[in-house]
Amino acid sequence: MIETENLSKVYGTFKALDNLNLTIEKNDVFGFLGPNGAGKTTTINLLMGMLQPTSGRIKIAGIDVLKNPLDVKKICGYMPENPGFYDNLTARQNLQYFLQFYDKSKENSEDLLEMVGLGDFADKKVGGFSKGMKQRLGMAQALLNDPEVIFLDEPTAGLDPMGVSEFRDIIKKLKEEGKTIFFSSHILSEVKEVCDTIGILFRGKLVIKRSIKDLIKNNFRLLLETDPKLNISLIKPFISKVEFNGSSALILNLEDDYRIDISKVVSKNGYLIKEMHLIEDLEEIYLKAVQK
Amino acid sequence: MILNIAKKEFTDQITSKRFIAILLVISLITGFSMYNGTMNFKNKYQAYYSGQIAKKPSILSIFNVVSTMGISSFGGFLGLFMGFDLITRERERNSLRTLLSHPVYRDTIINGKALGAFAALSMGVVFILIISIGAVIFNGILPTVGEIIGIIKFGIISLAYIFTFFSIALFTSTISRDSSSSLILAFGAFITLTTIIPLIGLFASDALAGDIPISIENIDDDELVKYRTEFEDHWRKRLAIMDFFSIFSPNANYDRLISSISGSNREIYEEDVTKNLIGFISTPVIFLVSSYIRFLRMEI
Repeated sequence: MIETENLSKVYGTFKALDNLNLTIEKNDVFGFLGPNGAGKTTTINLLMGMLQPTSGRIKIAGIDVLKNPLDVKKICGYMPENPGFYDNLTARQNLQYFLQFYDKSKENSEDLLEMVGLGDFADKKVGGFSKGMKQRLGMAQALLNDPEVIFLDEPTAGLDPMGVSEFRDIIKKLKEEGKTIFFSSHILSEVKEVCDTIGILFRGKLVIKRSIKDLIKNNFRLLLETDPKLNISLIKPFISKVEFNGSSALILNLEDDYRIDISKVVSKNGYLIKEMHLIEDLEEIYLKAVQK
Repeated sequence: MILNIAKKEFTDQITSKRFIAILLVISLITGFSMYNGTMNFKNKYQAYYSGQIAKKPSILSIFNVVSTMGISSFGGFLGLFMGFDLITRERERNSLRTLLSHPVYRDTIINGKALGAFAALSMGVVFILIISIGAVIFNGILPTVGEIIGIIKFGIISLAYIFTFFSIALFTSTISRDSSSSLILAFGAFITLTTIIPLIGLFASDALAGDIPISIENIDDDELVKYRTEFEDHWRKRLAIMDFFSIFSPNANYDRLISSISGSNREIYEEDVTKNLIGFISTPVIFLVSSYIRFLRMEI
């Protein structure tokens, strides 16, 4: 659905984006991670045709973004970081203003305001909105044209916990509707919760692009607590490293999901399992990637 | 699509406090100048019918007063205040990024904004004209068909004049990072075009035209003719140099064009205002084209 080929953006001598080659499949929820200044917003702006790349190509749904930026915008929705609106207009008027650029009915904006939880504030001027309310309105304007591809730049920044939860529900609903979602975020737990695939951008370069399942698969960390304390040599064939060896709890690094094999060995040797669960630590993967 | 943007810009402009405030100031000055101009016109009219003056006064002389007192200065401010934050404001509140994420070309945005502002200015000028004509008719003076055409020309030239300063402010808005920098730049351009350039013209005429011929007492007729010729040549030269610089000054061009309609100042300046007309039209065109190019290349 989204394809970039050697995409670069250079400002003077600074490479904001360096040869990005990225493919995102249809109906994928792609989480774009990276520290501040890594080039995430630049990438989104390039994908939306709002910036001219220094070199490279971009295709969205087979449409060349550089040649047909307007056609791309017709099928894409974009929620910028800190979305801006016209303070002198109400939430409804803002949406209706943007809606004029599409052949869509006004009822669509009413439904969207309800969906993002702004139904009761539809006739309030945006000038009086909090940051979180503007984020919600930003989400509504990104969905105005019922887009096939949705770009969300730090969508939950400024949202309260309930807002974050509602946002996750919206993302899940959009995925069920077959949309492709590309969103950048700093909040790793959120990415893990809603994304199928992640990409980590560091200093303009894509350093990791994997599915969440694959990432976790190769980074199994198991917390195991037994009574009495387990003799590690019994499970040695399954573990690559013992990270923590406490009174009765262990944190083990595994090369695969050996939970069933370990539980069999432990039970067979007369130990009782008090606790056993996988620690899926995306933060660690992220930190490793950006500290290379 | 362009009309959607123009419609919003028009509504934003005519409901903004600064537009209403400046228009109110111009209207008050217009009302005051109309009152003075009308009284003056009536006196001249009576003088004409009593044979004291040979030339029949024209209603357009009243509008000449209006242009000098109100539009020439405050009209420029109106144009500047309407345009200085047109782009910077959208950038500051991030609405430009939101707007550009929808299927709309950048040229449509800037053209729509210019069109909406032009419509708002047109409404303002029509409002001023209605006040002016109303005041004239209220005083029992009925304009002739020729004078009505002259009043329409006055309206068009005044609109173009205010729009010139709008285009300057629009340009500063596209090249500035924020609205305050844009306002400073716009005022800088305003002072340069309305004051500094005519002053340079004055200094240049002093420097380039040479010394003023001095008459010597008790000269004979031949010498007097020679002196007059030299004196007239000197002033012609001075005026030509000042005229050259005035082409770059929108208010100087505006004053000359309005004077050419009303017939005043003909004894001072030459009647041909083609140069001024070209200068008057090319200034907003240059600034609009520059704004357009800059906006299309701007990184949001």
